[in-house]
Amino acid sequence: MKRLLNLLVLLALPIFTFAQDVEMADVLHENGKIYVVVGVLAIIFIGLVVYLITIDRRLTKIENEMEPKSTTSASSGKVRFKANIKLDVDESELK
Amino acid sequence: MHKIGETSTQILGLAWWKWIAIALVLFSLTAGMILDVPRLPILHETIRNLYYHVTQWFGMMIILTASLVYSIIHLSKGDRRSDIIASEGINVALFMGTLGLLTGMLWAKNTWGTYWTGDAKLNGVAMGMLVYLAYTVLRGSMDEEQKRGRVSAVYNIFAYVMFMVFIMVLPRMTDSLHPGNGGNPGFGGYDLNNNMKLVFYPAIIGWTLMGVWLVNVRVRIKSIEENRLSKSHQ
Repeated sequence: MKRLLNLLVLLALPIFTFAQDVEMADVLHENGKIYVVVGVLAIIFIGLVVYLITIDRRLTKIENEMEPKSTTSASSGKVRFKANIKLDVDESELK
Repeated sequence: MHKIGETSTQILGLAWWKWIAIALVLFSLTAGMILDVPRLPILHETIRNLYYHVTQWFGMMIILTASLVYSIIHLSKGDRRSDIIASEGINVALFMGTLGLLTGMLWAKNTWGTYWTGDAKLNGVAMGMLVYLAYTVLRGSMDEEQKRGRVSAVYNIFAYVMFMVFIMVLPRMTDSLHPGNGGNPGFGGYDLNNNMKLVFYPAIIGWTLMGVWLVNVRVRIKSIEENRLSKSHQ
Protein backbone atom coordinates (compact mmCIF):
# COMPACT_ATOMS: atom_id res chain seq x y z
CA MET A 1 0.00 0.00 0.00
CA LYS A 2 2.79 2.40 0.94
CA ARG A 3 4.60 1.53 -2.25
CA LEU A 4 1.50 2.26 -4.27
CA LEU A 5 1.14 5.63 -2.53
CA ASN A 6 4.75 6.46 -3.25
CA LEU A 7 4.25 5.55 -6.88
CA LEU A 8 1.17 7.75 -7.10
CA VAL A 9 3.02 10.71 -5.59
CA LEU A 10 5.87 10.10 -7.99
CA LEU A 11 3.54 9.98 -10.95
CA ALA A 12 1.80 13.16 -9.82
CA LEU A 13 5.09 15.09 -9.49
CA PRO A 14 5.15 16.42 -13.03
CA ILE A 15 1.66 17.83 -12.55
CA PHE A 16 2.76 19.72 -9.42
CA THR A 17 5.82 21.14 -11.14
CA PHE A 18 3.78 22.22 -14.15
CA ALA A 19 1.24 23.83 -11.89
CA GLN A 20 3.94 26.14 -10.55
CA ASP A 21 4.06 29.29 -12.57
CA VAL A 22 7.17 29.73 -14.61
CA GLU A 23 9.06 32.80 -13.44
CA MET A 24 8.94 35.67 -15.89
CA ALA A 25 9.83 39.34 -15.68
CA ASP A 26 6.28 40.21 -14.71
CA VAL A 27 7.22 42.93 -12.26
CA LEU A 28 9.20 44.76 -14.91
CA HIS A 29 6.26 44.66 -17.24
CA GLU A 30 3.81 45.70 -14.53
CA ASN A 31 5.93 48.65 -13.54
CA GLY A 32 6.24 49.47 -17.17
CA LYS A 33 10.00 49.64 -16.70
CA ILE A 34 10.71 47.21 -19.52
CA TYR A 35 10.01 50.17 -21.77
CA VAL A 36 13.06 51.89 -20.37
CA VAL A 37 15.20 49.03 -21.65
CA VAL A 38 13.37 49.03 -24.97
CA GLY A 39 14.05 52.75 -25.21
CA VAL A 40 17.75 52.24 -24.55
CA LEU A 41 17.91 49.53 -27.21
CA ALA A 42 16.09 51.76 -29.70
CA ILE A 43 18.39 54.72 -29.01
CA ILE A 44 21.54 52.62 -29.45
CA PHE A 45 20.24 51.07 -32.66
CA ILE A 46 19.10 54.40 -34.10
CA GLY A 47 22.49 55.89 -33.20
CA LEU A 48 24.30 53.08 -35.02
CA VAL A 49 22.00 53.44 -38.02
CA VAL A 50 22.47 57.22 -38.23
CA TYR A 51 26.24 56.64 -38.14
CA LEU A 52 25.95 54.00 -40.88
CA ILE A 53 23.80 56.35 -42.99
CA THR A 54 26.41 59.14 -42.78
CA ILE A 55 29.12 56.68 -43.86
CA ASP A 56 26.89 55.51 -46.71
CA ARG A 57 26.21 59.07 -47.89
CA ARG A 58 29.88 60.04 -47.70
CA LEU A 59 30.63 56.99 -49.82
CA THR A 60 27.98 58.00 -52.37
CA LYS A 61 29.60 61.47 -52.54
CA ILE A 62 33.04 59.97 -53.21
CA GLU A 63 31.54 57.68 -55.88
CA ASN A 64 29.91 60.64 -57.59
CA GLU A 65 33.16 62.58 -57.50
CA MET A 66 35.02 59.68 -59.10
CA GLU A 67 32.43 59.03 -61.78
CA PRO A 68 30.23 62.11 -62.27
CA LYS A 69 28.23 60.47 -65.06
CA SER A 70 26.70 57.86 -62.79
CA THR A 71 24.96 60.24 -60.37
CA THR A 72 22.10 58.07 -59.32
CA SER A 73 18.83 59.87 -59.10
CA ALA A 74 17.64 57.45 -61.76
CA SER A 75 15.41 54.61 -60.67
CA SER A 76 16.37 52.02 -63.28
CA GLY A 77 19.12 51.20 -65.70
CA LYS A 78 16.96 52.41 -68.56
CA VAL A 79 16.49 55.89 -67.14
CA ARG A 80 20.15 56.18 -66.25
CA PHE A 81 21.02 55.29 -69.84
CA LYS A 82 18.86 58.20 -71.03
CA ALA A 83 20.56 60.53 -68.58
CA ASN A 84 23.91 59.49 -69.96
CA ILE A 85 22.81 60.34 -73.48
CA LYS A 86 21.73 63.78 -72.32
CA LEU A 87 25.12 64.36 -70.75
CA ASP A 88 26.81 63.31 -73.98
CA VAL A 89 24.71 65.75 -76.00
CA ASP A 90 25.51 68.58 -73.61
CA GLU A 91 29.21 67.92 -73.94
CA SER A 92 29.08 67.95 -77.75
CA GLU A 93 27.17 71.22 -77.71
CA LEU A 94 29.82 72.77 -75.54
CA LYS A 95 32.46 71.78 -78.02
CA MET B 1 37.23 49.54 -65.04
CA HIS B 2 33.79 48.60 -63.83
CA LYS B 3 30.82 50.65 -62.80
CA ILE B 4 30.79 51.98 -59.25
CA GLY B 5 27.98 53.46 -57.19
CA GLU B 6 24.47 52.63 -56.08
CA THR B 7 22.01 51.28 -58.60
CA SER B 8 18.76 50.85 -56.63
CA THR B 9 16.14 53.56 -56.15
CA GLN B 10 16.99 56.00 -53.39
CA ILE B 11 14.74 57.57 -50.78
CA LEU B 12 16.25 60.56 -48.94
CA GLY B 13 19.67 59.67 -50.29
CA LEU B 14 19.52 56.06 -49.12
CA ALA B 15 18.59 52.92 -51.07
CA TRP B 16 14.97 51.95 -50.40
CA TRP B 17 15.73 48.49 -48.96
CA LYS B 18 18.01 50.02 -46.33
CA TRP B 19 15.00 51.85 -44.88
CA ILE B 20 13.17 48.51 -44.76
CA ALA B 21 16.13 46.99 -42.92
CA ILE B 22 16.07 49.79 -40.33
CA ALA B 23 12.30 49.54 -39.83
CA LEU B 24 12.28 45.74 -39.46
CA VAL B 25 15.20 45.61 -37.00
CA LEU B 26 13.71 48.44 -34.97
CA PHE B 27 10.44 46.48 -34.92
CA SER B 28 12.20 43.32 -33.77
CA LEU B 29 14.05 45.22 -31.02
CA THR B 30 10.92 46.85 -29.61
CA ALA B 31 8.09 44.38 -30.30
CA GLY B 32 10.46 41.51 -29.51
CA MET B 33 11.00 42.87 -26.02
CA ILE B 34 7.41 43.85 -25.30
CA LEU B 35 5.11 41.22 -26.84
CA ASP B 36 4.15 38.13 -24.84
CA VAL B 37 6.23 34.98 -25.13
CA PRO B 38 5.49 31.40 -24.04
CA ARG B 39 6.30 30.61 -20.42
CA LEU B 40 8.90 27.87 -20.47
CA PRO B 41 11.03 26.50 -17.65
CA ILE B 42 14.82 27.07 -17.84
CA LEU B 43 14.43 29.47 -20.78
CA HIS B 44 12.16 32.05 -19.11
CA GLU B 45 12.51 35.42 -20.84
CA THR B 46 15.64 34.31 -22.72
CA ILE B 47 13.32 32.77 -25.32
CA ARG B 48 13.39 36.29 -26.76
CA ASN B 49 16.96 35.58 -27.88
CA LEU B 50 15.29 33.76 -30.74
CA TYR B 51 14.74 37.19 -32.32
CA TYR B 52 18.37 38.25 -31.97
CA HIS B 53 20.71 35.26 -31.64
CA VAL B 54 19.02 32.91 -34.10
CA THR B 55 18.48 35.65 -36.68
CA GLN B 56 22.24 36.30 -36.84
CA TRP B 57 22.73 32.71 -37.99
CA PHE B 58 19.85 32.92 -40.47
CA GLY B 59 21.30 36.13 -41.88
CA MET B 60 24.75 34.56 -42.06
CA MET B 61 23.47 31.51 -43.95
CA ILE B 62 21.43 33.61 -46.39
CA ILE B 63 24.44 35.83 -47.13
CA LEU B 64 26.69 32.77 -47.53
CA THR B 65 24.17 31.38 -50.04
CA ALA B 66 24.23 34.68 -51.95
CA SER B 67 28.03 34.57 -51.86
CA LEU B 68 27.94 31.06 -53.36
CA VAL B 69 25.68 32.28 -56.18
CA TYR B 70 28.06 35.16 -56.94
CA SER B 71 31.01 32.77 -56.94
CA ILE B 72 29.24 30.62 -59.54
CA ILE B 73 28.46 33.75 -61.59
CA HIS B 74 32.12 34.71 -61.35
CA LEU B 75 33.19 31.28 -62.61
CA SER B 76 30.88 31.52 -65.63
CA LYS B 77 31.43 35.20 -66.49
CA GLY B 78 34.84 35.91 -65.02
CA ASP B 79 33.83 39.44 -63.98
CA ARG B 80 35.48 41.33 -61.16
CA ARG B 81 32.33 42.62 -59.50
CA SER B 82 30.82 39.25 -58.60
CA ASP B 83 34.19 38.15 -57.23
CA ILE B 84 34.27 41.20 -54.94
CA ILE B 85 30.65 40.65 -53.83
CA ALA B 86 31.31 36.96 -53.06
CA SER B 87 34.38 37.69 -50.94
CA GLU B 88 32.89 40.66 -49.06
CA GLY B 89 29.79 38.56 -48.44
CA ILE B 90 31.93 35.99 -46.66
CA ASN B 91 33.62 38.72 -44.60
CA VAL B 92 30.28 40.02 -43.36
CA ALA B 93 28.94 36.48 -42.85
CA LEU B 94 31.94 35.70 -40.63
CA PHE B 95 31.23 38.87 -38.65
CA MET B 96 27.59 37.86 -38.15
CA GLY B 97 28.70 34.33 -37.25
CA THR B 98 31.02 35.75 -34.58
CA LEU B 99 28.10 37.73 -33.15
CA GLY B 100 26.04 34.52 -33.26
CA LEU B 101 28.75 32.59 -31.41
CA LEU B 102 29.20 35.23 -28.69
CA THR B 103 25.47 35.67 -28.10
CA GLY B 104 25.01 31.89 -28.16
CA MET B 105 27.72 31.45 -25.54
CA LEU B 106 26.06 33.99 -23.26
CA TRP B 107 22.70 32.28 -23.74
CA ALA B 108 24.20 28.82 -23.15
CA LYS B 109 25.89 29.95 -19.92
CA ASN B 110 22.52 31.03 -18.54
CA THR B 111 20.42 28.08 -19.70
CA TRP B 112 22.69 25.06 -20.24
CA GLY B 113 25.07 26.22 -17.49
CA THR B 114 28.23 26.48 -19.54
CA TYR B 115 29.68 28.73 -22.24
CA TRP B 116 30.69 25.82 -24.45
CA THR B 117 29.74 22.15 -24.58
CA GLY B 118 30.80 19.32 -26.83
CA ASP B 119 27.50 19.77 -28.62
CA ALA B 120 27.60 18.67 -32.27
CA LYS B 121 26.12 21.95 -33.48
CA LEU B 122 28.61 24.08 -31.56
CA ASN B 123 31.69 22.19 -32.68
CA GLY B 124 30.25 21.93 -36.17
CA VAL B 125 29.77 25.65 -36.50
CA ALA B 126 33.24 26.30 -35.09
CA MET B 127 34.73 24.05 -37.79
CA GLY B 128 32.52 25.63 -40.43
CA MET B 129 33.76 29.10 -39.52
CA LEU B 130 37.36 27.88 -39.66
CA VAL B 131 36.66 26.62 -43.19
CA TYR B 132 35.55 30.12 -44.16
CA LEU B 133 38.48 31.71 -42.31
CA ALA B 134 40.69 29.55 -44.51
CA TYR B 135 38.93 31.16 -47.49
CA THR B 136 40.12 34.62 -46.43
CA VAL B 137 43.65 33.29 -45.83
CA LEU B 138 43.66 31.58 -49.24
CA ARG B 139 42.43 34.74 -50.90
CA GLY B 140 44.96 36.91 -49.15
CA SER B 141 47.79 34.66 -50.28
CA MET B 142 47.31 35.35 -54.00
CA ASP B 143 48.21 38.53 -55.84
CA GLU B 144 47.22 37.67 -59.36
CA GLU B 145 43.64 38.85 -59.78
CA GLN B 146 42.22 36.32 -62.26
CA LYS B 147 43.72 33.35 -60.48
CA ARG B 148 42.66 34.63 -57.07
CA GLY B 149 39.09 35.07 -58.31
CA ARG B 150 38.82 31.60 -59.79
CA VAL B 151 40.56 29.69 -56.99
CA SER B 152 38.56 31.43 -54.25
CA ALA B 153 35.29 30.90 -56.16
CA VAL B 154 35.95 27.16 -56.44
CA TYR B 155 36.99 27.00 -52.78
CA ASN B 156 33.80 28.87 -51.83
CA ILE B 157 31.68 26.11 -53.39
CA PHE B 158 33.46 23.45 -51.32
CA ALA B 159 33.36 25.61 -48.18
CA TYR B 160 29.60 26.12 -48.55
CA VAL B 161 28.93 22.39 -48.85
CA MET B 162 31.18 21.63 -45.87
CA PHE B 163 29.61 24.37 -43.75
CA MET B 164 26.10 23.12 -44.43
CA VAL B 165 27.10 19.52 -43.63
CA PHE B 166 28.74 20.64 -40.38
CA ILE B 167 25.79 22.64 -39.10
CA MET B 168 22.71 21.12 -40.76
CA VAL B 169 23.46 17.43 -41.30
CA LEU B 170 25.89 16.18 -38.65
CA PRO B 171 24.08 17.71 -35.61
CA ARG B 172 20.91 15.92 -36.72
CA MET B 173 22.68 12.57 -36.75
CA THR B 174 23.95 12.68 -33.16
CA ASP B 175 22.80 14.11 -29.85
CA SER B 176 22.48 17.86 -29.67
CA LEU B 177 21.11 20.33 -27.19
CA HIS B 178 19.90 22.60 -29.96
CA PRO B 179 16.20 22.56 -30.76
CA GLY B 180 15.52 20.75 -34.00
CA ASN B 181 18.66 18.60 -33.71
CA GLY B 182 19.49 15.16 -32.38
CA GLY B 183 15.91 14.10 -31.80
CA ASN B 184 14.92 17.36 -30.10
CA PRO B 185 11.84 19.05 -31.48
CA GLY B 186 12.46 22.33 -33.28
CA PHE B 187 11.36 25.63 -31.80
CA GLY B 188 8.37 25.40 -34.12
CA GLY B 189 7.36 22.14 -32.48
CA TYR B 190 6.26 23.38 -29.11
CA ASP B 191 6.68 27.04 -28.44
CA LEU B 192 6.91 29.15 -31.58
CA ASN B 193 3.39 30.48 -31.34
CA ASN B 194 1.93 32.96 -33.79
CA ASN B 195 2.88 35.85 -31.54
CA MET B 196 6.54 34.88 -31.84
CA LYS B 197 6.37 34.27 -35.57
CA LEU B 198 5.04 37.81 -35.94
CA VAL B 199 8.38 39.09 -34.67
CA PHE B 200 10.70 36.24 -35.72
CA TYR B 201 10.13 36.35 -39.49
CA PRO B 202 10.43 40.14 -39.87
CA ALA B 203 13.51 39.95 -37.62
CA ILE B 204 15.17 37.43 -39.99
CA ILE B 205 14.53 39.69 -42.99
CA GLY B 206 15.60 42.82 -41.10
CA TRP B 207 18.88 41.46 -39.72
CA THR B 208 19.72 39.84 -43.07
CA LEU B 209 19.17 43.17 -44.84
CA MET B 210 21.41 44.89 -42.28
CA GLY B 211 24.10 42.36 -43.20
CA VAL B 212 23.49 43.01 -46.89
CA TRP B 213 23.90 46.73 -46.18
CA LEU B 214 27.32 46.04 -44.65
CA VAL B 215 28.23 43.95 -47.72
CA ASN B 216 27.05 46.82 -49.93
CA VAL B 217 29.27 49.36 -48.15
CA ARG B 218 32.29 47.01 -48.20
CA VAL B 219 31.84 46.24 -51.91
CA ARG B 220 31.63 49.95 -52.76
CA ILE B 221 34.77 50.76 -50.77
CA LYS B 222 36.59 47.86 -52.45
CA SER B 223 35.46 49.06 -55.90
CA ILE B 224 36.77 52.57 -55.24
CA GLU B 225 40.08 51.16 -53.99
CA GLU B 226 40.46 48.98 -57.07
CA ASN B 227 39.52 51.80 -59.45
CA ARG B 228 42.08 54.02 -57.78
CA LEU B 229 44.70 51.27 -58.14
CA SER B 230 43.96 50.71 -61.82
CA LYS B 231 44.10 54.45 -62.45
CA SER B 232 47.44 54.83 -60.72
CA HIS B 233 48.83 52.03 -62.89
CA GLN B 234 47.83 53.78 -66.10
